[in-house]
Amino acid sequence: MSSAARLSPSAPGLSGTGGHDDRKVPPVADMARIIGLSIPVACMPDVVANTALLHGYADLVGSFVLPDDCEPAYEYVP
Amino acid sequence: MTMQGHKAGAALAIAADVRAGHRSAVSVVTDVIADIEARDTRFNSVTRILGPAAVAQAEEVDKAIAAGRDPGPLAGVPFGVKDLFDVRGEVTTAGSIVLRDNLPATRDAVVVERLRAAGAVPVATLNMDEFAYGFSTENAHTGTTRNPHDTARLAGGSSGGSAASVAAGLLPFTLGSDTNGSIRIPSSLCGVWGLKPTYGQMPLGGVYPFVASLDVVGPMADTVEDLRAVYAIMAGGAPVGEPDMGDVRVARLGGWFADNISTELRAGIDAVMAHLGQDRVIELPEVARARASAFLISAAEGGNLHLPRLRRRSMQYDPATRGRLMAGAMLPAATFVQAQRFRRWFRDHVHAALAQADVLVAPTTVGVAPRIDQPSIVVDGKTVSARANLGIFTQPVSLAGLPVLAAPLAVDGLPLGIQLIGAPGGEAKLFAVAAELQRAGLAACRPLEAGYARKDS
Repeated sequence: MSSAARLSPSAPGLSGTGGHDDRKVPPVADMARIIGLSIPVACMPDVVANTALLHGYADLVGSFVLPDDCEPAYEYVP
Repeated sequence: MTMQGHKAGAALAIAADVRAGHRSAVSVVTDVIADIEARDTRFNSVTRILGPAAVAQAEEVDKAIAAGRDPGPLAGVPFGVKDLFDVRGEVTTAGSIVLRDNLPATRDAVVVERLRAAGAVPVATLNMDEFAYGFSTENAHTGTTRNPHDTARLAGGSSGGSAASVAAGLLPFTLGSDTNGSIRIPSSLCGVWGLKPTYGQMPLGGVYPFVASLDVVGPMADTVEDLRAVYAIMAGGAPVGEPDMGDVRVARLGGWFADNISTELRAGIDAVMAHLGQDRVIELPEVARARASAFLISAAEGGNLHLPRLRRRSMQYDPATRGRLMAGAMLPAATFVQAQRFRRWFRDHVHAALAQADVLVAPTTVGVAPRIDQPSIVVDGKTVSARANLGIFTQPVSLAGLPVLAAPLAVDGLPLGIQLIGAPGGEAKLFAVAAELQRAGLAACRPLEAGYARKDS
């Protein structure tokens, strides 16, 4: 993994082909609707940018293969 | 610039004077309040001065002394709290106008209550990033806290007011919270001592939450002695005996933690390791994913916490916070669960590393405080947002829940800091190393003129 990728996960939807790649455009309006959140138009660019940033981090963590018996750390004890 | 160190600890020195009758608690508190009013316009570290209540409590301390009662180990010592700790009679704002219509707290946060019982006097609430979601203490509602060592620069965050008020010499100690680095980063950039205790160790009753999986509260102070004393009281127990330095194995973290740091910071860590006579380097695995997991868990839990209010009155939020919380609230469950599972995996590997050393040394930030008008840092040759990237060395450690003592290096110029990272419950070893670095002159807090150190005429 390049160090650039480590620090700045890809931010889908912010650059490149935009709407031509569904995976790279977070469906923010749909996602918001599902949880009953109305995003003011003025806030949408910032929310899209932050959603894209989080998806980059999600890709990074999601691509790591964990053993099936690795449980979530909900009641975490350091 | 007048710089004063306090070998005995400024807070402990005040308490000793007050207990001995050399100063009255009321005079200490009123002097500190006057000093804040006179000087904090330069730093914007304080959001509210708790004048009448503070003076009233100080009077009780003086009465106790006059009556021959024990006023407590921190008798008459003024302190400030990040504006997310409940202080009885005050609205806890968490740095936002969103909560401003809440009722005032009817009792103190548990840790504030313990400090008050020890004779310490809360005199101010302190600035922060809104809802602790940031590393810069740039707040749309309460303004930006400026670094006392260069007011053109950021203090760091989110406990920026807590660090800046100590660095400015306005207060001998303060309280902050640390979810992803919010005690350690401002401590480093302002050059003060700070402690993020082991996750789960400190009571969080009366502390406005951010990320339940990661939140910790801790003290910031101008000496190791004060930090230790305040920590012990916050934790509700007597100070734990410190081990002999010869029994403490120290290693530095390599890999992720060795990249991107400034020449001065690298030299500072080299000097620390050389002084300690230890040269072991340990690398933690998958640090980028650990940081990402902390980022995701924070976004998801913070977003969920605020979702009901975001649905109704999102425009009251600081724009810098709003977008992040909204995005976090929408994160898929699969992402959150994967991050929590990764945390479990990372824990096992961190413990393996800690079997080889008791204390791990790492940088806190890549370098000195960024300028306010150029809030960026250089990482991997790229200029990136300071607000989003100041925590690259703190977030992975947060995920593991380890205790970290933030030590200010004794450098010329702007402050630089390191993390002393311990095993869970290993705070005593962190204090041992910190005390040694302070004793050797390798680490030091150098506050500006300390108003609280003035004696009664």
